[in-house]
This record gives sequence, C-alpha cells and structure tokens, in this order.
Amino acid sequence: MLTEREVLSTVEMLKGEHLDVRTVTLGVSLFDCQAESTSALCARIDAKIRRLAEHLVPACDEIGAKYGIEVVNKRISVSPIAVACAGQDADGMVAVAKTLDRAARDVGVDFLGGFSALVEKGMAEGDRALLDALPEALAETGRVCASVNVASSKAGINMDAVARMGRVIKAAAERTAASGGMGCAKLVVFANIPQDVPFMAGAYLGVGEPGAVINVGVSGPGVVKRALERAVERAARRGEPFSLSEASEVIKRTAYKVTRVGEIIGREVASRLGVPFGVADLSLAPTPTVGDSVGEIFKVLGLSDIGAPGSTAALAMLNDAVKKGGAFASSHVGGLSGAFIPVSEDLDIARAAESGVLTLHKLEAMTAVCSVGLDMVPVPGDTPAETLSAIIADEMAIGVINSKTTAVRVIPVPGKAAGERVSFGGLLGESVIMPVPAGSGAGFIGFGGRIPAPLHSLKN
Amino acid sequence: GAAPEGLPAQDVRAALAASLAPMGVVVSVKPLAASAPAAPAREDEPGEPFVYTLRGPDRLGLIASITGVMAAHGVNIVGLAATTSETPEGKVDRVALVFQVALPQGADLPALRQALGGCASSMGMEGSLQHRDIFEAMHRISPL
Repeated sequence: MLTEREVLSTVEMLKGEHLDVRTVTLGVSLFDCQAESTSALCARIDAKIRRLAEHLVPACDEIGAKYGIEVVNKRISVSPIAVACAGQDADGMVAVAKTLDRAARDVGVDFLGGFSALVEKGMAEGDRALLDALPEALAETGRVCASVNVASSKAGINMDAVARMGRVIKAAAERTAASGGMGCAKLVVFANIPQDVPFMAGAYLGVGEPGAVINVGVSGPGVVKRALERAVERAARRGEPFSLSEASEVIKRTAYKVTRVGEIIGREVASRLGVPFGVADLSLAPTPTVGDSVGEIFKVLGLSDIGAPGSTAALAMLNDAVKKGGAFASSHVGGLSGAFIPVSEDLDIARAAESGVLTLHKLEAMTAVCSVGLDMVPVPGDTPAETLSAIIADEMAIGVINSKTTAVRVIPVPGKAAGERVSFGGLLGESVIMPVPAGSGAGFIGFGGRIPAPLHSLKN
Repeated sequence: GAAPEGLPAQDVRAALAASLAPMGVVVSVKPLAASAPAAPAREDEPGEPFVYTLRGPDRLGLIASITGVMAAHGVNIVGLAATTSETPEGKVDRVALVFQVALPQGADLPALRQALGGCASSMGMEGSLQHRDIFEAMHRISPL
C-alpha cells in the first residue's frame, strides 16, 4: 500500500525540488550508412535518423505525462562520425555535420552528439578529416556536439592529439567569437570516454552498442540538497547526531529514488519505440536555476562555498554516495554516473568562481573525485593553444592514472579577459571568465608523442 | 518480418505462396508503415491505477468538487487520504488530498487531466495525476 507520505514526497520532489528526467537520448548507429558519394552518405544518414527518431519526442512527452515527470530534453547520439564516415575529407565531414544538424532540428531534438573521434593511440584518416572539419562544423551548426577521446588507461595519452586539440579549441572559439566562443561549448576532449553517455556534449554511440538504444539521464541535485537539509533539521529537532556518515546515507537513499525515475521512464520509452533500453546515467546534473544546483549541496554540507578547503572531500563523498544509491536503482548503470561540476551551468558554482573562492587549481583537484572534468570553464580569449593543451594533458593524466573518465570543455572567450563575464544562454548558462594559472608548458606540449599506458593497465 | 531493401511485396508473397500453398497455408503480405509504433499505450486497459494529488489552502467543498469531475469521467476511487498542516495557532491552513484511483477502459487521459486541472485551479489548488507505478518505483525496491 502506498502511503500518502510517499506520494506527497514524490510530488514535492517533482514540483518543488526540480526532479526531472534531464534527457532521454536515442542512440542511432550510422555504421550501415556508408555510400560511394558524400551526398548519398548524407541522404542515408538523414533518412535513418528521421526514421528511428520520428516518435522519440511524442513518446517521451506522453510517457512523461503519464508519470507526471517532465522529460526536459530529448536528444540523439550517433556513431563516432570519424569512424562511420571515415572515407570523407574535411568538406565531407562538414556536410555530414550539417546533415546531422538538420535532421536533429526536424525531429525536434535540441542536441545531437557523436561528431566524434577516438584517437587515444593514434590518428587514422577519418580522424584527421574530422579534426580538420571541427572548427567549421561547430560554427556552422547549432545542435551538433563533438567529442575527441585522446587518452585511455589502456592506451596512454596521445600527446600529438592533445597538442592538436588546443589549436582546434582556439580555432573553434575564433570562428564563433560573436557568441562568446560558443563553438567550444559543444566540444569535449576526453580520457576514457564512456560510449553510452546520454548527456551532451559528450554523448556518442560507441562500437559494440546495438543499432538503436535508449539511454536516460535524470537529474536531482535539488532533491539531494533538500533531503540533506531536512535530515539536518530533523536531527537538530530531535537532538540526534548528524555526521557525514548520516549525510552519506541520505544522499545514497535519495540517489536511489532519483535514479528509479530515470529507470522507469527510460524503460518505457524504449519499449514504446521498440528499441533496447541501454543505461540510466545516475549523474547529478545541474542547470542554471535556483534550487537545481550541485554547488548548493556543498553549503548544506557545511562548506562556505564550493571551492573552499574541504570541497574535494565533500565531492568525493557526494559522488560515491550517488553511485551507490543509483547503482542499486537501475538494471544497467552507465554513462558518467556521478556529480557534475560545470562552472557556467550551475548558478552556485558560477558564483563561487566569480568570488574567487573557486579556482582552476581546485576544480582540477575536484575532477579527480567526480565523474566529469573541467566542464564549461570560460577562460581568457588570449590563452595560448599550448596552455589549453597543457590543461588538457593534466586532466587526461588524472583520468588515465586513476582509471576514470575525465574531460575538458573549456572556452577561451575571444576578446575577453579574466574577471569579465560571458553568457552562452539557456542551459549553458553564464559565468565570469576564470584566470588561467601562471607559467607555461609550451615546451612540454611541443615534444608531442605518446605518454605510455600506466603499469596498472597491464591486466592481461 | 523484414524483406531485403527494394524487394516488392508481391515477389515476397509469390515466393512464400509457392512453398506454403501445398501445406494448405494462405499467404498475405502487406508492407508495414515505417512509422508504426512498437507497443500500444497502457493507460486504456481497464482499471489502470493512478494517483491524483490535490494540494493547497484548505476550504470547504474540495473533495465534493473534485470527485464530481472524477465521477463524470468514470474514474473509480479506491483510496483517499488527507493530510493537513496547521498554523502555529492550531488552525488548519493547508491540505493535501491523495486519491488512489482506477481509470476506466479507454479513458481519455488528456480530457481528464484538463477537467481535473480546471477544477483544481478554480479552487486555488494544485493537482497532479500520475500513474501509480512511479511512486512504487521510487519508494520500493521491488523490480520494475
């Protein structure tokens, strides 16, 4: 028997605490779209996406309404284009990007991810063409998201690719200068990229995935925050102890409930569309809305701001408790599955950056214990490409040595300096431009080559 | 089944008929519309369990009005609970009503939502109609 307390707590989470399904992402394999000519390839890609995604948006809306839960975003992820369209040159890759953009617009999704390359051990022809095409593709399209995996625990770090990506990011920023370098907000550089992430901009459908699949991402930082606040108040009222042991339990149990929402919606959308259910990504993904913030959770945990001493430990606890609760809630957990700390996408994190409490140094430390990396970090427009590459190299090393995913989504905002503001609009939010640490690693980046895989990867 | 791209339906039918006719099997082949949905919606099956919550300032006639709308749409009420909150002076100010209901076969869900929504807002209340499975999913550890 359902108790009214259970019903009302769910309703409160949905209405007052920003519990929602952040994204239902349909993965579409494009490996069977190969053709002799670019135009034939684009036509096949276009037809396949339209055919498979035709009912995605209506199904999500209907099933969302049935359960009273909003599916905020419907998205698509595709096979890594550098592989699926490997015979194309840079112009062909741009044509593919435009095809993806149009198809996404027409089926009603706001983002389509998978304009991607995997180059952790080296670059093939298709990878080169895609990297050449990236700045133009990101400038000429609105909905296409790109990612490049330059490192893995198994392969090490491709430092040639790292050097290249610093230059690609600069070029993408220059080409989208009018929107504050927005092109870079749709590009992520990864170590150990998961192949089933439903969130953007890192979503792509990996090799080994089925022809079509539904992956779902929920979100509930506001729910976790409120649950912690209530637990603290209740303990105080009753004169009971409330330590980090109790806090971790509350987060874990709340993460269970939040992930169940994604599981039930994801499974039913998958069933309705006749495709397999892939994974629930149990990440806490914030938006720039009051009450929907990961940063606010840190305050409830007794930190003055995210970025203050203690933040890395707090995030480690939060990330781990979220994984534990979410893992039990879902038949298949995947994607990033942790806590996100995107600077411009979280009102509280943006504010901490503006006040100077949160620095790039601290963000880097925190990426060692959460599920993403340096995310949506605006930096000065005159940051040299080599410095961007060095920042990427550091992030990749954290991921490779610790066998986790890390990533860099950094935006050098053309014409702006540290302390000025940039606004990307919508979910991408706005933020102050963060200063980049002093010193230069240009010589180190200039060496290129490969940093070998770490010893612990020798598991055979 | 799925036929190779470009093979006309009549060729498929002819090939199948040739093999199956001797066994007394009649064959008919029709192309499936590419956009046929995979599974029918479940809300129209008899007695789908939903939960309707009505929250807001307490006043007379809440239950009478909302149950009137439910009755008009053939909705069966199988459970009802009320939770109130009080002002510091002990006066009931807010109420939350939780109705466990069963929807009739072929219920017009959008129309029902609209009717309930109109009634709720006319009384200054916030209502929500949700399938019961979501509550079970969140608060129980049994499989979905």
